[in-house]
Amino acid sequence: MTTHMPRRVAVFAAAGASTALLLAGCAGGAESTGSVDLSSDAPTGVTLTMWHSSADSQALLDLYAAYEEASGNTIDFVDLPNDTAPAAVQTKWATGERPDILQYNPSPQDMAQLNMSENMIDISALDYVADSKLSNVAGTIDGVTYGVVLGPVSVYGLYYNKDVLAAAGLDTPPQNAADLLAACSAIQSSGSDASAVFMGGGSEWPSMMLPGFAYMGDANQGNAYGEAVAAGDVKVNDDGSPVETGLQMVVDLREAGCFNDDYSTATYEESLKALLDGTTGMTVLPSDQIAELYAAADAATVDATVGFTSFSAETGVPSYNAGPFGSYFAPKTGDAEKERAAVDFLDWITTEGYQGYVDQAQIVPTISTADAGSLSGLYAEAAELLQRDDATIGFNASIPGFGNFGGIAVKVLVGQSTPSQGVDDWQVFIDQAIAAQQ
Amino acid sequence: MHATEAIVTGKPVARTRRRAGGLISPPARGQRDGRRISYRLWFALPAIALTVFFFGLPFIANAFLSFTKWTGFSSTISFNGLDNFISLSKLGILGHATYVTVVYAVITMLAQNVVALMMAKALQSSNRLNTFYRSLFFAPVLFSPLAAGYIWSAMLAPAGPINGFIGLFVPGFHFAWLGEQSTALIMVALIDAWKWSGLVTLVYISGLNTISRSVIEAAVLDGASAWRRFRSIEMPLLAPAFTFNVVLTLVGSFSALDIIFSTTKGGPGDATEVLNFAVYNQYGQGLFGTSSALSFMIAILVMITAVPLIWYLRKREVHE
Repeated sequence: MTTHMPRRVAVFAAAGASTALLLAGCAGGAESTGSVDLSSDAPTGVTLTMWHSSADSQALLDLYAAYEEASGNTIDFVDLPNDTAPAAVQTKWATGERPDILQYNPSPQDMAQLNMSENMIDISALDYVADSKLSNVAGTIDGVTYGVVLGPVSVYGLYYNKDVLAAAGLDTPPQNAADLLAACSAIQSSGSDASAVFMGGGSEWPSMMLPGFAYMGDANQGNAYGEAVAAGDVKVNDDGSPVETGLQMVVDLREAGCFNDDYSTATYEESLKALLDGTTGMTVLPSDQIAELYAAADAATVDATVGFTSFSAETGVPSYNAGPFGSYFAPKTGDAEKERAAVDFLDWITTEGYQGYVDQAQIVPTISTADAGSLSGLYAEAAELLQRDDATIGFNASIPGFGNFGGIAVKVLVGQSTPSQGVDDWQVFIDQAIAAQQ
Repeated sequence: MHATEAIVTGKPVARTRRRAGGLISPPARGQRDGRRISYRLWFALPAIALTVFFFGLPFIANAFLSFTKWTGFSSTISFNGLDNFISLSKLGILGHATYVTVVYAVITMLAQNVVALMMAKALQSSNRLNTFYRSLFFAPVLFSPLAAGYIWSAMLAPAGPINGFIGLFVPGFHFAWLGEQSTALIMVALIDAWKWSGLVTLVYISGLNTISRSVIEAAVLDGASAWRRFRSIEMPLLAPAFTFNVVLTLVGSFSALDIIFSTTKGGPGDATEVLNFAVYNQYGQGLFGTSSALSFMIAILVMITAVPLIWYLRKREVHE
């Protein structure tokens, strides 16, 4: 027995050492090199690593190439699959790996997951911060800006097929919950074979659009609701919760037979196809999908067939969000030269390189120094919503634990939970996320 | 007998040892056993090293991290006792995901073994036609699980070919096989079973072919029917293959993720959210400690299932 003890001790010691090594790696956080001196010349001939989505637009890819040409630096791309990019970033991040440039979601609740104050370079001194109103709500956390947001900024709204609505006698598209139910009833009464509202529950995220991102516009004016939930002043399962009434609207639509038959398995791609071929009357999605529509049919057909308008619980307040596409951060890597070059990249794409990007991408600029090009069709309709004074940041921006809302919305959609159970469940997730941040 | 002679004749060399002075008596039994164990240990060493480094240490590290507050929100990792498990329990994830995982594993194991045993009986003889069918049924094993999932998603779509075929007999048939809570879990488990049945079939075929023909022929002469021969002779003698297949399919299914990822993504709602999918979701939100706790649960589930199951199945194995 005694002869076995040393072996056991050795095994446990080895395990302990390995655990300690693992923890040391996982504890992550490269040593801070302090703030970057912007007055110094940016280095050239540096190779920067960028983690970015494999679904980056051509306009973004061209922007990267333009920076390489202008700076003499090279970007070494690490493509992350678009669907799983957030989890892929978390996985690599947790092992202590860091890129020089990170394309990432600039909402405060997503930023918090990467522990910005310890892991990212403060870029508050860049001209971008003064020139972009959006930097107040995106790319900034606790008053410090870590990320730049070029756009496209998505605005959540209701796409509608003009012919289906006209055949149902609807002169204007619905812009609130009550009108949506009435429009559904009108389409059903018109004898049309088209479903009134297309829901792509199989893709999960579309199920959050109608009851969440779009519906919550009224309640989240000025991001008031999201910030109150994040502070713990408001619970999403409080009496009269707007989240619960949004979910209840989904139940009402489902019970009234307004959705497509395959609402639980259909994908968002199918919703766009249904819009174009007139097998559905309406669907709520972000303006990101406009490009997909124009890719699926010629511009004249899309403009003649599909319209885009704002939608919210009561007054049609548009909500918007900046996504990971066109949003960049410079992580602390411990290599001062590369850190300086990474900040130079952020500076260049928001100054010298920005107008070219705006022109090519056909987006509403997020930086005041750039001019919006002439937008047409659905792009112009989306831009109009985005530039409205009452437009508000999406309710997800500040709520910790928002990542669970998709699953909860699907459970309500398919009848697995009631709206009341849904908000109760979500509040538990929110509490978990708030506790994790403390 | 010399060693060379032993190699030619295949007979063992007498266990004698030489010293300078001539023959000596064989070493004591304990000494011989010790050397034999030591000799075997050298061969086992690579396997032991691999097990320690790729299972033992990660398992211990994972167990430790399960009891820590480790998140993306902070760079420090602190011990938090049972908080992760309590939190997962309050969220309803722990109980639900464990339940879904167990149901998924049982359906997969039963479907795979029943179908594979039937196929093994049908394809037992080694002729050209059976060789072709064995290859055909083995082909899904070579597919990527993600590809298999995507293929079956399309097949089972409401407007897909399976509903189209049923529609030939039931006009207007429309059903979302992967979109209904009542069928989604069963369907993804059956897809998993389809994917791996070819492998299980081969194990059963090799098990059936190791049974001595003389035993079967004796039973035929005694007038035993085909069913009686299968039930009373082949089934008991298949016990080692049965043990291997049941444990492999059951324990393997506890780690399911890829097929679920490519078919239902844990849905509808959380109807197919197995433990690994819950791990993925927690990890994606920067909650690494709770994610480790769920991973630890999978390891525990595998151990508390596999160890007694192997013990029980090995106990009932019979040999010719």
